[in-house]
Amino acid sequence: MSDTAGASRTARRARTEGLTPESLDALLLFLDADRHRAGLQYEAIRRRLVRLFEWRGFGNPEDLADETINRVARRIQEGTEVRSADPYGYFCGVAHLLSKEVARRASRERAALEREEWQPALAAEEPDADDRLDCLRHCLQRLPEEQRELVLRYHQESDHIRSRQMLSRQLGIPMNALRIRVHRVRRKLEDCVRECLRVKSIRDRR
Amino acid sequence: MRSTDMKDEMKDDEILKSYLLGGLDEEQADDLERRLLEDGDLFELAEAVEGDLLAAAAHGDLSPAERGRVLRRLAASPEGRTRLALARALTSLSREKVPAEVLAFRLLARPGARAAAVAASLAIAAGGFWLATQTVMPGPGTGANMIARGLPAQPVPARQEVRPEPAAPPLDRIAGQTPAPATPPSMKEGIAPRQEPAGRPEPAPLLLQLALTTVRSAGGDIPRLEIPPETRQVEIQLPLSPGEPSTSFAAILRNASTQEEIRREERIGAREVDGRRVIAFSLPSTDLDPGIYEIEVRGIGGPEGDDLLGRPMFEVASN
Repeated sequence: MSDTAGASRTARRARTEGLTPESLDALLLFLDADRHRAGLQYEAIRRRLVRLFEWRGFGNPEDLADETINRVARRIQEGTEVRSADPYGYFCGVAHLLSKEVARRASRERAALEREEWQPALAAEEPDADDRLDCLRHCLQRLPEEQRELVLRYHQESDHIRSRQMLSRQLGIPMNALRIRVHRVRRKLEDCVRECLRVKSIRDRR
Repeated sequence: MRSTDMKDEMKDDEILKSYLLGGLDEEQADDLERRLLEDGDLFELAEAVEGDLLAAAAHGDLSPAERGRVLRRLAASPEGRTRLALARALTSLSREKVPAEVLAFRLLARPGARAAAVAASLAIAAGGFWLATQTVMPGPGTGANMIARGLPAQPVPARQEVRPEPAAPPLDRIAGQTPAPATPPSMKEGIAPRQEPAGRPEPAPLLLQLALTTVRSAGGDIPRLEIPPETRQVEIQLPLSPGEPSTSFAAILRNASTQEEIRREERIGAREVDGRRVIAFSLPSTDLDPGIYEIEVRGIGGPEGDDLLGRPMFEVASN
C-alpha cells in the first residue's frame, strides 16, 4: 500500500467515525512520526479494539472501537498529556472505561426493558444457512488445494482433537503454529463468504 | 520443541481460552488486553483460539456452561455470529475425511516447503563450478520421513543430501567436511559454503538457505551451520512462496535462547535466485557465535498489514 493510499484510507475511515482532520493528524503523530507507519498502526489498533470489545461480549464492537479512538484523539488534540508509557496502554485504558460505561448503560436498559419502557432494535436479517453453505463450498474451491485440505482436516467432525494433534506432528510444527495457519485460512474464507453472500443478496433483491 | 517453549505455549493457550470464556478476573483481563493490543502475534493466537472455541461449540464439544459463554461472548456481535455460522458450515463440509498421510504429503510437497530440498539438489559441477547453496531439511523422524516411509510409491521429496559431484572443487575446501569424496555430508552437519572461484581476493560469503517453514523437528533437530574461520560474511537466503504478495520485508535475527536481537533489517526487497524469489539477510560472521538462532521474517505493508511469514531456526556449531 503506498503512503498516499494508506493515509487516504485512514482519513476516509476517520471522517466517517467523527474524527476531525486536526484530531486525526494529532492522533497519527502520536502513534508515529512517519505518517504511513502511523496509518498502519491506526488500522491495527482499531481492528484489535473491535475484537477486544467483541471478546468482552458487546454487540456493537465497531462503534465502541471508534468511540475509543475518538476519545483518545480528542484528548491528544486538547493537549492532555498521555501518561501511559506506551500508546497501546492508553487506548486500553480508555477502552476499559468505555466498556464499564456501556455495561452500566446496558444494565439500565435491561431494567427499562423489563419495565417495558424501551424496545431494542431488531437484529438484522441473518443469511440463509443453505446460502452460506453454498458460498462456503464456492470459497473452498477457490483456495489452493493444500489450504483447503488443511482447514477441512482441522475441522473434521470425528475425534478432531486427536486428528489435529496428529496433523501437528506430521507437519512438524507446534500446535499453536498449526492453529494460526488454520486461522489465516479461515479469515480468507470469512472474507470470501461475506462477499459471496453480499452478491447473492443483491441478486435476490432484483 | 524445547520443554520450556511447550510450557509457554500451553500457558498462553490456557490463558487465552480462559479470557475468551470470561474466566479471568478484571485485573487479569485488563492486563491481557494490554498485551493483546501491543503484541500482534499474541493477538493472532487469540483469534485462532477463538476460532477453535467456535468450532468446538459447533461440534458440540463444550460443556453447556462453556457453550453458553461462547454464545454470549463470542457470538454476541453480528461478526461473531457469522464466525459461528461459518464454523458450523465448515464442520458439516469436513465430513468427507481426507487421509492424514495424503494431506501431510501434499502440504510438505508444495513448492514453498520443498524449496530447500530442490535448491540443495542443484549441485552443478563441471570444472570451475562450485556448489552454490545448501538448504536444510528437517532432521530424522520428522513428518517428511514419516510420510516417505508411509507412502513408498509416492514421489516424496526425500531428505536431500548434497552430493559433491566428482568434478566439484576439492572437498577439503568445503567447510565441515573431511576430504573423502565418497562421503556426502550429513544434512545435520554440513552446510557447504559457496566455493571460492580462483583468483577472487575476498572469500565469498557463506551461504545458508532456510525454508521459512524450518522449525525444530519432533526429534529436536534444527539445521546446523559450521562457519569456517576464514569466513567474513554469512548470507542467509529465505525463499518466498510463489504467491507471496508482499514486496518489502523485515527480518530480525535473534538469539533463540535469550531472545536478544542480534540484527534487524527493514525494507528488504526480494531478488531472483535460480528462478525463485528470495530475501537475503547478510551479516558478519562475527555476529554468529555458537548457539541457536531464529530469524523472524515479516512481509511489510500487505493487504492486511504486516504479515509474519515464518521464524526459521538454525544452530551455529562450535569450531
